[in-house]
Amino acid sequence: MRLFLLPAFILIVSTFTGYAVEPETKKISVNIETGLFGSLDNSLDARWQIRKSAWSHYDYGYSNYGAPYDNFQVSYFGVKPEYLFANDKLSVSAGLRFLDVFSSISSGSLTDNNAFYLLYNQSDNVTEYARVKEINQESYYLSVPIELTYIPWRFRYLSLYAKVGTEFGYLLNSTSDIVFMNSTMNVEKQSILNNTGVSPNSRYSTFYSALGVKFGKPNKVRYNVEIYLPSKLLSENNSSILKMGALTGFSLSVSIPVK
Amino acid sequence: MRNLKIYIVALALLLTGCSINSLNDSTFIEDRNNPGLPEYSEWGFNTFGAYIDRSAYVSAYDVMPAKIIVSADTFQLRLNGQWKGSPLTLKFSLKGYNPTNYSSLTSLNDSRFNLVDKNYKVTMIYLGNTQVLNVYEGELYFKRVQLLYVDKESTETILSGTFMFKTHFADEPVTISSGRFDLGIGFDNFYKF
Repeated sequence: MRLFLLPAFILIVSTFTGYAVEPETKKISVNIETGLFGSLDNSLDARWQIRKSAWSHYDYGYSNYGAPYDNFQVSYFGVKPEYLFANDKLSVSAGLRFLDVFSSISSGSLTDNNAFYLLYNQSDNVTEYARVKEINQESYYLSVPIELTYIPWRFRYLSLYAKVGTEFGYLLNSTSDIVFMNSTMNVEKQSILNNTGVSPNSRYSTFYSALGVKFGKPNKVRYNVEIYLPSKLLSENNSSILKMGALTGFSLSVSIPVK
Repeated sequence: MRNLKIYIVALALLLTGCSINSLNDSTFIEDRNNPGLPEYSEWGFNTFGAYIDRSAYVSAYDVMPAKIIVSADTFQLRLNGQWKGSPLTLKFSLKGYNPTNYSSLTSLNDSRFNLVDKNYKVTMIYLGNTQVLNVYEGELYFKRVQLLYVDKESTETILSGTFMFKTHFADEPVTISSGRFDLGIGFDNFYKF
């Protein structure tokens, strides 16, 4: 272990001091990126009437455990040309992204005996529930991100930066599904989806900010890791199942200098 | 101690792989306007509650909250709960109503019963004592009664409604107020003799 300490120390010190940082002679690069967002603090869209359940009950006070699990995530990949200016301190970029927006509520494992009760029909004195394992929706958007990046610290092998960005997208396709506990209920699936209304917003827009690290030498291929700060969807109803809270996530990208 | 008992029951359910989401479960969602009481609902949550002179009388987790007993020409709704830490049962007896099964209970939909009427009786069982209450004001209201189908199969009847009345108990006037119930009645708690 001690054999590696000295070279590691030298590498770290030379990264931050050592030789003068090489200027960026190639101002234009192409970024190939992928990323994943998740939403904090989701709530169920009111159009879905799901019977609350509890396995813990108090004589006094509030108890509402056993609510279905929920999941909202946005994954994407894209291509983004970037232009560096202002003495290599600022850059702007814009490109194209393909987004996969997935949302679901579930009772947990699809193979166990747990299910939740979805109220799908109610008249004067008849109520119909279906036992459901999962309701999910997957929507695909094509979007244009526009970003401004500030690079305050550049060292020999890495740079630290902060960026803000906004994104506008358009819906390409969306599918929704209900996984019933009892497969005989599949005949009701389309009717339930139609009656509930499962059309996500055809527009997608968001405003976000991130902190990132760029690894590699100037004017060479470099690798970026970004952490997204909690951000907000500007568009509404991008999921017909969940109301999303703040989004956060990460991104990985490769910067290829071009010119 | 009560919390420990609940956790042990819940852990046992999880370990045996039993469904932890059953229509027979009691789902207690507190009414924020009436602390200590479940909020009024029509989901078949198997809960009920009322204030007895401002102390909450509510359904208990480990006791079947309601039974319907029909004998001769009398219908009896029996609520089993807890008041001030001890079991208390209220029985509403309605003479002249004789449903054949739990599905027939839909005839109670939007029905009010004046508890002063001599054909209707309220009995309280508390601390081993059974007392037929002399009600001088009050009503039992079945606001909504629904047949419940789960996966297209008839499962139970949901009785939802309210109750309130004034009576004498332990030599003093007592008010039972803000009473509400949301009960699932099926094969296991409907009796006809």
